[in-house]
Amino acid sequence: MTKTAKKQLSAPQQEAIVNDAPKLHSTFEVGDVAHQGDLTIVRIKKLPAGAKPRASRQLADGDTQGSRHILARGDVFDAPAKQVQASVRQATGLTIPEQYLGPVFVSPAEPTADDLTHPEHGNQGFPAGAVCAVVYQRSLDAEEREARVQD
Amino acid sequence: MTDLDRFAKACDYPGTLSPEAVGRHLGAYCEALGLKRSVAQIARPWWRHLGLMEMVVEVARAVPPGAALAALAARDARAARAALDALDALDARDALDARDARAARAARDARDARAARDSLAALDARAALDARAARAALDARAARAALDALAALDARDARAALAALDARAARDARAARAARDARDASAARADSSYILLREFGNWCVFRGGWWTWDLAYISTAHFGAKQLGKENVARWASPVFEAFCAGAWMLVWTTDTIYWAQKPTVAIERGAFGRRLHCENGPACANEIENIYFWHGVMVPAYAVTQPSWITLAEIESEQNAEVRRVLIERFGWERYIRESGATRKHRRFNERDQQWEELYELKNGIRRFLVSDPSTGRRYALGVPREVSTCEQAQTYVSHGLDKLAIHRS
Repeated sequence: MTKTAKKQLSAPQQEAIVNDAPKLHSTFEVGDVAHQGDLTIVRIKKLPAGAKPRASRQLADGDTQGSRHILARGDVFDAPAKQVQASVRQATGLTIPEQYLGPVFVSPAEPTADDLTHPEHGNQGFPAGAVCAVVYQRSLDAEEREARVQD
Repeated sequence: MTDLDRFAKACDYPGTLSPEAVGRHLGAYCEALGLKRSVAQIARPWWRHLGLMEMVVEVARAVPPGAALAALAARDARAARAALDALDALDARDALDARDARAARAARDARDARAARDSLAALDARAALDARAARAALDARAARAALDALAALDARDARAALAALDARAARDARAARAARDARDASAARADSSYILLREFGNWCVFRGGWWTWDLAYISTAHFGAKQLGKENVARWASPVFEAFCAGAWMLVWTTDTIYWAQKPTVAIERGAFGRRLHCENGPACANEIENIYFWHGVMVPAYAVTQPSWITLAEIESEQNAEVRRVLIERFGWERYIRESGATRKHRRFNERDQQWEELYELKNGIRRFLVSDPSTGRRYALGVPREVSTCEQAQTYVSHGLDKLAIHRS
């Protein structure tokens, strides 16, 4: 995009930006990252030792009707935060505070672009067997206290 | 018409209503459980029902001095504000002032204890009849089929109503904040304790949530009971199913009465996102207990829909939920928000990967807000970032813990 074209992007045009097509990642290596709305997905090397199957397939607790990040296919696990933290650090070199770490999931053997679903953000799928950690974004509230971004 | 057809039809809200039939079937339900309860329909306003009011007052009495009860007794707007803030603390992720948090916890415990006591008899009776059979009935294929129908049938209002209750339960302090802001209206200012009691009561009456006493859910046991031939379960599940088909939506138990509310009227919009609650001029889930307002799927205070001029900068800045804050700003007006908040732009960049502009603003009080658009929806968000952040790139790094630099895709 040229510089002029960029400048011409006014606010209403920004509103029109849409990237909600389902995407099946053909490659998603250890340490790679993808966003789905306020959810961040990080591929880690392997399932943490203390991981236990989780009944809920919702990857982020939210209170907005319709805004659910659901792993439609694959397996979801709860794992000790310290283990997930170590896995993410090993994969990315970054240390994520424990309170921003969510469940871990494993992509199904036959992945599709609609494995990780959301009604408004584009669905995504990851390579077969990929182990991914969920990381939540953060921001400051009006009193400048740090908290998880929730929608 | 099969029972499943009747169930599906009954999931179109509000549908037909036969109060007499509901009363009769719920009476049979109590009888099957071996419980003595009178049956009463909840009509607006709910606080005219003595039993419900007693329940709310009992819960309020259990709240320590300084919170809700003090506010009620003092009829003082500031006390009411403190109490409402205490209620807000119920779901706050960050601990507020310890006293408020304790008071809020006490209120919730009192409410839950009362709820448990009132519905325990019913739960016990239901379980005692044949707990395993009841569970099996709910898990049975036929019941699952009904539940799946409820979940999958996009045309069914029951699903939307469940979502409304779901959101309401998750943010049961929302109405309290609505009441707090109603203080700006002179009439409300004159009677803040009335508003407090009403909102506190709404929170108590809606306590159980759909997972406990929503009839669209409970009545699916009817199908499982039939499939498995569980007579014990069918004895109570069939009357519940019939009450649902006759127009009942949810139940509220007290010590001597089983109250029922008729099905709500839901307003939804359709689009590529499927279907979501939305109404531009009123509640998206209008019911006899508490109207619930949604703006394009986001639960918001009533005034954000009906009286957006009541939205204040302070309310926007104090909103914890990014999605709700976004809606408030939208209703307030983005340009007006920037102008009236005295914000000055500190940095702006074009994000090549996400193909969008990002902006970093500093508000009058020094707080920094990172304005970013969602690449899927195009919606703009104002996220708080530390004061030392001076570029959009740093803001992205802060929000994502540094992971954004490694991101290969954003949707």
